[in-house]
Amino acid sequence: MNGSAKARLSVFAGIILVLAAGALWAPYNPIEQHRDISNSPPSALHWFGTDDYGRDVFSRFLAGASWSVLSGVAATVVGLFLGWAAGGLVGFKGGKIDALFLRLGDLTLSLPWLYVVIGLRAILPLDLKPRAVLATMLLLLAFVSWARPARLVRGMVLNLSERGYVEAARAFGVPEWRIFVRHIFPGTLGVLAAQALVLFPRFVLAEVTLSFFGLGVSEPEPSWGAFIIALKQAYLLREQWWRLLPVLSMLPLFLSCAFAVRAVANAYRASR
Amino acid sequence: MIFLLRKALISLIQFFVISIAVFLFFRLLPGDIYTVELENPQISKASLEGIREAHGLTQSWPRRYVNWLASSAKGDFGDSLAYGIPVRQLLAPRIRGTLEVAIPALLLSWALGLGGAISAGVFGIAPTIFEPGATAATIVPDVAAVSLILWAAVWLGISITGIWLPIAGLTFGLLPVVVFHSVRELRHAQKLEFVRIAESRGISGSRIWLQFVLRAALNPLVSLAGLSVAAAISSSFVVEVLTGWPGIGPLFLEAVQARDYSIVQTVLVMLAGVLIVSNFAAEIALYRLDPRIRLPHERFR
Amino acid sequence: MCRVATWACSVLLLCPGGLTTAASLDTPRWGGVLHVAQRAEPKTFNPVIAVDAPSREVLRRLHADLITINRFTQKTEPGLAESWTRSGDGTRYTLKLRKGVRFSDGVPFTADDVVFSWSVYLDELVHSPQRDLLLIEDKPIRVSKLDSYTVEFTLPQPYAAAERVFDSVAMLPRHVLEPAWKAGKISSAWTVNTPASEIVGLGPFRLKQYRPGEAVVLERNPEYWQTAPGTSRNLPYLDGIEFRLLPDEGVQLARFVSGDIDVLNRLSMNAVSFLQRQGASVTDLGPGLEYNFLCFNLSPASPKIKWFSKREFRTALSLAADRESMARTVFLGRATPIWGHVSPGNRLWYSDRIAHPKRSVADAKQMLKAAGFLWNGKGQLIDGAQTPVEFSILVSTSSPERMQMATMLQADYAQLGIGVNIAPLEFRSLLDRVTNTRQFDTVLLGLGGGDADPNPELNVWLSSGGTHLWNPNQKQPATAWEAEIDQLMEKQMVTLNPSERRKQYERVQEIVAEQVPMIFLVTPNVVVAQRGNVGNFRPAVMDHFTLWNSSELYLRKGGSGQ
Repeated sequence: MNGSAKARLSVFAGIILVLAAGALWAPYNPIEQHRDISNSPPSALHWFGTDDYGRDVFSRFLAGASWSVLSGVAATVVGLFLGWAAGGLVGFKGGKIDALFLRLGDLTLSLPWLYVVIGLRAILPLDLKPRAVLATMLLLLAFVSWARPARLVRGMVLNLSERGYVEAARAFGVPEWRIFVRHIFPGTLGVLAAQALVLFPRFVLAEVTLSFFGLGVSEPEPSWGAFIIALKQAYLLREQWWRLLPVLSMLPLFLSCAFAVRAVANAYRASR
Repeated sequence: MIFLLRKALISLIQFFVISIAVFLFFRLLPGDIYTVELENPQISKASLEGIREAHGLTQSWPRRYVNWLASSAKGDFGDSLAYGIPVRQLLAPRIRGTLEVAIPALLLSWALGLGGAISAGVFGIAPTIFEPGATAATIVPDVAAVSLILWAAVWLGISITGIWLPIAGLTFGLLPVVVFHSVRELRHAQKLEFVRIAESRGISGSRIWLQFVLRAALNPLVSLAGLSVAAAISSSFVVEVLTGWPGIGPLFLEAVQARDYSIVQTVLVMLAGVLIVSNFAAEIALYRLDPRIRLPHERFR
Repeated sequence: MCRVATWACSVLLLCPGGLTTAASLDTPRWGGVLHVAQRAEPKTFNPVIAVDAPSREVLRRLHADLITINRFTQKTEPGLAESWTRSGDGTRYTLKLRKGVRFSDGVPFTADDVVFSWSVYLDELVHSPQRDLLLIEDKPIRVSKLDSYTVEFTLPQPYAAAERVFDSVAMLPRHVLEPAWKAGKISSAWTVNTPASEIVGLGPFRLKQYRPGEAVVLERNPEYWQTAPGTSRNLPYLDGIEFRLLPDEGVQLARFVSGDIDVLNRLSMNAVSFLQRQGASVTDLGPGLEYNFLCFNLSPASPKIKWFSKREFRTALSLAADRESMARTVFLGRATPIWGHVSPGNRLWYSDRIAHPKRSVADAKQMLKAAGFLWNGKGQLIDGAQTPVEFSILVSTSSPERMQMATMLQADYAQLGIGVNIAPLEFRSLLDRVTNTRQFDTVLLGLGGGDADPNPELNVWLSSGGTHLWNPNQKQPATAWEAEIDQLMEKQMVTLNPSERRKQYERVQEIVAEQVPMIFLVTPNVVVAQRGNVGNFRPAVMDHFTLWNSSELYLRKGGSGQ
């Protein structure tokens, strides 16, 4: 791994760490209401201004970051692992299990999971803490999101199995599991990395969709989804441009994620 | 041929399983279409029970499923509870509305995404611009993107009643994913042995891209294109609601909120159908592009 | 015998000083199509079975009723009946119909149509949602024809709000709908797919075209009976009304700003302040009829009943609710704090005798202490058994305002040491819990908006009512105060003397305010906007807020683009 890749990775890791610990940096209590200064523009005291209840938006951005980043990472890991395991296995083994897998994948993709999520919220006990509710929802989403990465991993595995060096290894009688570990697995990392790049922001943002149905992190807990969904009232932005600040501040995370993942993928390719 | 027949049969079974799941899932949601009238103090509970019974809502689930299945098989998807007319009549004009938005947006996002990725490769434009742009775009979900486009148009004095608005909104929503995968697959293909060999022989850059790289990347991209059809249609629903476009979206959203079962079921089953058919089409395309797939069992022997 | 005002007088009543702008003194212009934004699709064009607001808003323009409630004065006035008399015992109403009134297809309207319409609405097999309104104590109001232009309605018992019952009961064309009714198919007549020419009514407009997902287009009904003041020409002034179907508020605003829509209803407060900055003509009508409240679950099986059943507990929570900030923050000042369920927007029934105790956390704490609650070392409120007091507030995800109110209550109650959990649920799921399974602690809801009279809310206040939200469908009133409310509500129903009836209902308001089964919070203002080109624009706090006088509305020059 070269220096620039290392630098990119550490920038990403740094941002993740800073944000994951966001709640600790928050200058104010993110849920304290000061109703006399509601909706004020940015100032030296309140960098991102205050919201409808006079809460400090910057503190809410940081506190929301902890939760969004951690849950995003967790859900990505779960979703990717399931997808990778399933896709890798059937791609390599092939045969009946492959056909079954494809059908199962189509099925998962075509079922209306959102209604399950909405229905689930309606069934869950009401006194569940907001974060427990979101964790349940995200976990469910992670479980059902295996199909897409799995499909891509499978394609990749099929592709790799045809390579000259794999065929050669087979010809020399190298055991299948060794072929898989040595030659196939590293090859799928690129796809996995690309999927992580797609999935991580997706999961962080899945909360936006949940918020759209009112099922995101509920008040008074801060969340990123709520900031983004607020953009729906774009007509307010002309006068209250500072409503964009929290969303713009999310960019470094997602951009550094993109850069880092590419660095990783390149590094793997170079090492082969 | 047998391969295709088998695929078709499997697709059919799959479709059947989905229909049951859709039917059951939607019933997880508490309440029914008349629940909301309980908030209206002018209607008594007894009258509501009468209305419910008249519409068969008091029957048991399995019974309602069988009834629904039997009539669906005859092409009758039942009557909408809210509208009191056959779902088919309600949906027919709307399907056109949705396709008018979804198809151009799908083509546009693939043309722009794949075309952009290829030309970025051909002209050596660093993907450093392309990919981060797409990353930034993913943060803004279609819900917000449509609103931003809408108000930008209002302030620029552009008419917002045209079909361009939902198409633009949907394209914006679909584009990032297309870009990601195109860039990824193309870059991957670029590193393949035969491309490198071609390169070392001094074949020109644009020829390498179009003749070798693109072809090598086609396989995964075709699968992805198959998946993106159903995604485009369901994202189109949201865009239609936000732009006031007369597609399935507004009808569907209202039907979900109102628990108008027959509309929701029909739309979801149709969506599943689109997904299965487009996957099937992608498989056929792959079958023609990639002979390996024709012999699935003999790959590793 | 009492004689009721005729049309000519009530037109004067319509123009109170405050709202009459100089512009409405213009000579009205004839012609033009008014474009109105509407949130949802009409589900049916059949007034007998329509339950949803969008259908009713369209249908009100297509049909007419015998006696109508003036949305502005909130009092009854003649519609298709030009006058009426009441018998001394209050059980018989004789209505004189206007002569020369024709349906939109040219067929004259007579007493036969009234009798026919009544039988349809009362038919149990039709399941008309209007049916319950035509029953008094489960017995129907009967009608008989005295001659072609006179009908007599017989009530099973004297009924105070009898005249108001006629409002919104659309008179149906017997010559068109009788075959369908006889065949038992009236519920499936006049769907959204019925050709426009087959839909026949007595309203100022008739259906021209329905474009699903896009628009409902109405054109002037050339047979409409009412003439323009000072002329012999038939109203309406407008050539038509086009309801544009736009589900999202954002796109409604955008279309309004770009000149594609003339009138907006039911605006959110953010939208209002935006439109004002855009220079649109925004009318704030003051408090509407909707009242928002936090309702306790007082059913015997309620999980928190041992706290909620204490009146002091409920009163303390009411004292700690910061209604002023709610009005200021959530509604940007366009709302009024309330302590009782009748909003100040209700001109006839609002009572200023309901106490408005000042918000005080200290008083609330005092009251909790008196009721046996304590605070532990962490500052949590605990009951006698050391259990920390916690409850959840159920709130609908589709109402951002109520979500915000819940958030504020959560912070208010934190000051008392009470842990509040907000549980946002999709609306139907929420109602299912509240009205059906009863698995909830408290719920933040809003009611009102239909009629200003107490009678349509009978189901809310009677302990046997299905909408008696804190403890519905009781066989016997669970508490003495509920029993008293039951008595008063039943008495006011048959009291014909208005001031006596007012006193009875005032007492109901007092009891509810004292016992606090619900904590009344705020009544939002009704705010509407128009592009400044609509004349005779007299929005009202009752629905339909802006179109209730659609026959009189006219467009000034420079109407909307299309």
